[in-house]
Amino acid sequence: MTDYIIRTEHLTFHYSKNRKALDNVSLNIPKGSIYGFLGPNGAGKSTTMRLLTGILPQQDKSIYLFNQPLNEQLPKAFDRVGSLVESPALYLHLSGYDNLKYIAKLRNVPESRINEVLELVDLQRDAKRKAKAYSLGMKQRLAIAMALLDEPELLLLDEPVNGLDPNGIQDIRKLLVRLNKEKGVTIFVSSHLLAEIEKMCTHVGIISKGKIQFEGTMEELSKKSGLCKIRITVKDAQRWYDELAKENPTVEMESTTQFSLELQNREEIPAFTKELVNKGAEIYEIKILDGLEEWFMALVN
Amino acid sequence: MQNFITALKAEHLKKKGTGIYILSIILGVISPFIMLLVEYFQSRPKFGGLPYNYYLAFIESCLEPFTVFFFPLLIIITVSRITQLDHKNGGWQLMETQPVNKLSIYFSKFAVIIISMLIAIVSLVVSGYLFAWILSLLIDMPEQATTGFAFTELLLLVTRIFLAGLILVAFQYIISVIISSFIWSVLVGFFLLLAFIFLKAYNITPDWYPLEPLSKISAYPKGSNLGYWITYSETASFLLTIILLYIGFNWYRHKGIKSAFLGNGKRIAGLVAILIIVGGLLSYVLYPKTYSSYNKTVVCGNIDSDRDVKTIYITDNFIGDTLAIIPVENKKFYAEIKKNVPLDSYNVTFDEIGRVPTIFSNNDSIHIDFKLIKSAMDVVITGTRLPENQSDKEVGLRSSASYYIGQNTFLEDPDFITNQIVDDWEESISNSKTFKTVDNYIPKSDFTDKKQKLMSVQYLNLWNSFIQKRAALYPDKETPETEGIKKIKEMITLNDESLLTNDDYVRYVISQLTINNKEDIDDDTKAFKAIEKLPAGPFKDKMLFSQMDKSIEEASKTSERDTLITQYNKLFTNKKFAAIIANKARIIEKLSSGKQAPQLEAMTLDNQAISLADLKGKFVVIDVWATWCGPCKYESPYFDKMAIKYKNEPVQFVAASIDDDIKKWFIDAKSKSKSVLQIHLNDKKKFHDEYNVSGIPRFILIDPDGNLVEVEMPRPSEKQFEKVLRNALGLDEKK
Repeated sequence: MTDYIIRTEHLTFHYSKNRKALDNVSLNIPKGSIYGFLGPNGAGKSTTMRLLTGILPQQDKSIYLFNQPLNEQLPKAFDRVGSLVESPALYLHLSGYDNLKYIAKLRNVPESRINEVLELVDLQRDAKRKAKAYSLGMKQRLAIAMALLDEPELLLLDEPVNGLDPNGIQDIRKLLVRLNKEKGVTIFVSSHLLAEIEKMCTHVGIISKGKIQFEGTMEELSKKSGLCKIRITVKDAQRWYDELAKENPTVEMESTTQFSLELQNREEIPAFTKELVNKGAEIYEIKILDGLEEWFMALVN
Repeated sequence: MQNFITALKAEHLKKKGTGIYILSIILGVISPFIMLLVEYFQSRPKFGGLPYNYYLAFIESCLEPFTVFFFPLLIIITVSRITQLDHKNGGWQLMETQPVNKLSIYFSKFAVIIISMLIAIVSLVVSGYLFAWILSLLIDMPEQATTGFAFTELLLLVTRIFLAGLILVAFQYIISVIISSFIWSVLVGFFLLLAFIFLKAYNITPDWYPLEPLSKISAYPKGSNLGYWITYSETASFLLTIILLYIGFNWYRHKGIKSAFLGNGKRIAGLVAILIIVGGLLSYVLYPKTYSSYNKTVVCGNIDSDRDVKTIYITDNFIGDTLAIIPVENKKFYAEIKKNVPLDSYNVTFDEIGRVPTIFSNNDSIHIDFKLIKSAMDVVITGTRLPENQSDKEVGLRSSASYYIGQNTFLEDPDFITNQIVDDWEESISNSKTFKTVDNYIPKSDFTDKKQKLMSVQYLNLWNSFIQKRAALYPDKETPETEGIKKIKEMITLNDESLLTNDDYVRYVISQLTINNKEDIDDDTKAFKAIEKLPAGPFKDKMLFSQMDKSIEEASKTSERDTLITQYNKLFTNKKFAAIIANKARIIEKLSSGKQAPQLEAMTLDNQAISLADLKGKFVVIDVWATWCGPCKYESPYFDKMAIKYKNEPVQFVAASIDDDIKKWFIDAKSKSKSVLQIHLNDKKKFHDEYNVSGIPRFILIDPDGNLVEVEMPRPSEKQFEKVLRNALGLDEKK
């Protein structure tokens, strides 16, 4: 049986009588996974996150952390959990170092560990500056460093790359993957960007309007999402369009040099390309137009 | 506990660079600093007074600005800043996702505030010491000041301020944690401060008001009258703090008042338990207490004086009837009073050196601590009438109507004046109930009733004087008696014997009895006629006594006094009154101008006997004084100056001391002007009786034949003194 670090059983939460924020949400986060928690803004991601961290009191007892009911082990469980909920919680009047020192004090972590995490998030040089002076990305990184300080078994990250530039996003992503691989940290990460989740997660749960729409591994996701749409840039596009249109009704002209079509799944791309080349097509570019995205959009709307 | 200490340490790291403790020091130091400047620029030399601790007194004088302004201000600011650190930075969520329990989170922050409070209080004390010391270098320290380290007093003071401040801290803290916007908690705090000023002005601040315990500290820096370490007000602050923190913490822990206390049996039960237990204690503490009666009437006490007090006399306020003569043994006295003593203010006289008006009635046990060192007196009355003796004994009239009537303004508007009288009366009636001691004791209802009656009498007298003025100014216009005035009148009956020791009541009764007498005779005659018609009994006797006492005093001729006595003294049922009046007339007669001055036996500085008879042939001006008498010492240089100025006239200036301690007299008298004959009276008591002395200094002028010219001269510091003297000597008005 799979060892689940977090489990929720039909988790339901009301802010008020008429407003159900979460409806019957059952999540299963396996140990060692990077679990992407995906959903548009307002779907219930943050509510779930806050319930998982106990910031919001549960209205039923349906959350299990490390196979124990959550409410019975707060705040002790945080010895094993690092978290970053919503906007980075930092003390702006303190330096980056002191922010970490504060967490170190609370968690009884030796101060030597501070430099390690600073290095991990590449903030050594800015450690003495006040957090007030940090850029958004640096703040985000510092917040992650604070979550990592106590070498947690589980990381709960709410939109960790929100507001970062592409470079920053990439750095964080790499860091998380590394932590997962090297230290076996289970990571539960929420995002509203499918592309983010796709790039690093092993498991995914999709939430919309307070309900879970999908949960499974990435493979299961791509199978489920079905069709794969590609766009091909080719010399003499009109000719190839006419030819392909006979067999594949999904072919569409995009411009004079591009057309798009749908394949059954990603795995068909190499064979399809080979065939086309063999037929003499001069291909400049093949781009996956992300069938997943469209499927996702359909799912959540 | 470990968890809490960890959280507290972390909390200290968090406040790094915010200057929270520095602010505490600044706001602690500011009041002593202001006091230093005030004392330096306005320094008045203090003469006399009982010994006191110089440093403690300085710190106590700093309490008012500190406890009613700077300290509350500090609390409001600090609480807001400490909580804002986390509101602003998402810190609450951060803390809650750490392995720290909410109890530690909530109370570690509270502890930081507590520490900053303590820093402020200790700063006040330490800087108080420092600035007082600096002041002592700049200006002279009063001679009766002592400089020991008042450890116990200071420790108690610090503890009391701390406890008193807790309720405001707790109140501000729960608000600041719940409301994340910084502005609201500060607004609420300032609103509390402002509203307090208004509540104070109307004297209606409830004990549970978050600023009240602090203000009580500055009102009563010495704390309990009954020797408790802390007063009820600090206890109440502490108990309220427990309740507030219980509610506040659960509100925080369960994110809302509903989830904290509703819909969960256990939580409701917890709240109810706290409210019942702590709330019960609280209401016990806050409920005003009264002393219960004793099974007999006792007056006792201690005497602490550098002078020897042998006997204590208790007399009533009306005819000076002696209720008890108590011998003093080992500086203590005790007496059980067997006579009937209705509630009133009685005079407790400590030989001739001090008189203490003391309120008591039957079945009271009164303890008087009498302290008199040099000329400074301090009296502490405890026992079953403690609150009565502390409360404002003067039933002074505080009415703007009194001013208008006096100034003859708004007399054309009877509604306005009448309403003003009624409003002010209502206010003073409600004020008469507000007094309580520092230990939450209130006067018994008999006292309050009497006080309210006496107040009402004053307003009715005011009303009467208004009607009279109206009648004179607008003879054909009505001055309607409103419902309000009727209400005041209902308070008073015209035969209340217990009020007769009050002149205002007597005046009121007479005014009511004579109101319909339109005869063309003087008011005193009208009064006598009215009193004559009263049914015989104690009430009539006392009314008559008051009127006689006044008329005899005012009569200018022997014949007038004789007429009064023959006409009215027979009306007394109680012949004691008649005797007193007759005696009074006799004394006044004896001391009137031209009568032989009662003899005085005395001793000079050379230990020679001297009597008044030895001074015949010259005018004699006598200054009666004592070394312990402050006002006497003030007059003395003026007296000496006169003696030198009239050295060549046929007048002998005599300073007659009534000191018990002849040595003290000797030292003092030796250093005085040689133009004044210094003598020491042999029999103080005899002098008191024969010269009808009620107090010193007393100046007496006797002519060369030994007859009285003036038995009570003006004081030499007044111009009238010299005028009287020149007149007697036959000198012209010019000097």
